[in-house]
Amino acid sequence: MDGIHDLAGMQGFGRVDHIADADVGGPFHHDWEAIGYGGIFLGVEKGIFSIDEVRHAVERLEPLYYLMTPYYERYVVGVASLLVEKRVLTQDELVAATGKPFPLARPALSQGRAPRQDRSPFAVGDRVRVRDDHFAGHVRYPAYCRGKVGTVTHRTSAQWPFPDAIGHGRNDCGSEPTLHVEFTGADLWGDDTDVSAVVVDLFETYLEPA
Amino acid sequence: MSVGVEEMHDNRPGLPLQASAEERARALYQVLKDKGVAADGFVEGWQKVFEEDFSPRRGAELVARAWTDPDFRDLLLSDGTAAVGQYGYLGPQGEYIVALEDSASVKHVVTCTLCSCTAWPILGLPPTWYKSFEYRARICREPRKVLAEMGTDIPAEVAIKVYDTTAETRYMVLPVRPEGTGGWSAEQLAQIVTKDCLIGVALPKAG
Repeated sequence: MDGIHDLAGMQGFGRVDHIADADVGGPFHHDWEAIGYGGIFLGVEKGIFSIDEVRHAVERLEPLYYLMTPYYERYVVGVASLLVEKRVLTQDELVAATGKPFPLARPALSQGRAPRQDRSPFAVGDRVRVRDDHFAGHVRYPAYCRGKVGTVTHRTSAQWPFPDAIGHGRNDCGSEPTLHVEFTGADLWGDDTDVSAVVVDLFETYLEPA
Repeated sequence: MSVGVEEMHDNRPGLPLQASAEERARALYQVLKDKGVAADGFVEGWQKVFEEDFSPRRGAELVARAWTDPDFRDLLLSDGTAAVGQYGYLGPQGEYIVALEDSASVKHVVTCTLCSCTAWPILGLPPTWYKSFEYRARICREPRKVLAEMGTDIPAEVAIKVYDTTAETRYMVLPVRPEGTGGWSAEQLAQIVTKDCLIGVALPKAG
């Protein structure tokens, strides 16, 4: 999904609000923030949804709402949206609980897709291209590397379900390794960058030989 | 069901009418408890794990061990999962670990540009700044500038390599052991390895 969340490389942002090693306190600044993550574990443990579906739900927040909503709150809304979509509870029940509207994520634009069967077993040192494809469902490659060629620096010894499938709750997710693919800064952003290289962890289905 | 531009509330332009984040979060939890989906204390139990178990002190311990034990260093770099597993530090969002070795010529920095993925058990939960749009947008394109703004100056001759956590690998940086730490114990060394050193935006300092 070419969503608002895929903002790596976007320009115009200001300083990151942090000085190295400054005290950031604990993981939560308010107790309620734990409900965002707690809700993820609840859904996963009970087999209601996968963490991939949570990521996709957050990606489906209306763009302006996404940009204006603080982090943990996005996950509260994402989890709530999934629970409504999965009919565990209704939006009316949530509205009744607070007496005010409870906006949720927008519907998925796709039913997801299965992993490819024609994958190549890439190895360290291989030159690979991120497939130049466009898909409206959940994906785990950022747009900055679409169509770009890089070098494999690691092939995982473990395998995982394909995000574009499990992110939609499908049962044809398969299991495949991921490749760490190194792209030079110049190949990604020409002269307008100070990074030497970016390494992206990519599922085998996303890649083709270069 | 979903919010559209037409539902923007006059008093808070850009956002729809809704209860506060806290009210909605607590309402969600209560509805789940009322339906018997969530047991009492479920969220509180996880909060405790996040606050007390998942910690950069673990990552610091691994770095200090790697600095003082060449065999462990080799294991950490060749099979991070096994090395972290030896300490019993694998866990949610930290099941496949790759350690990134800094050197005199390369500085590594970790990010998750699509959301916030972090090696929770050995770095702790990600801080607000790591999850910010500013960091997610800028770190993979101008890391030298972003680090400099944070107060971490990387010499021009050192390349910066950014790792984007887009799948299930979870990363930790193995920084260069600083000058002036000769003879230090592993415990002393661990104390100078901060959460920010493990993410890659800070360098460990001898004193």
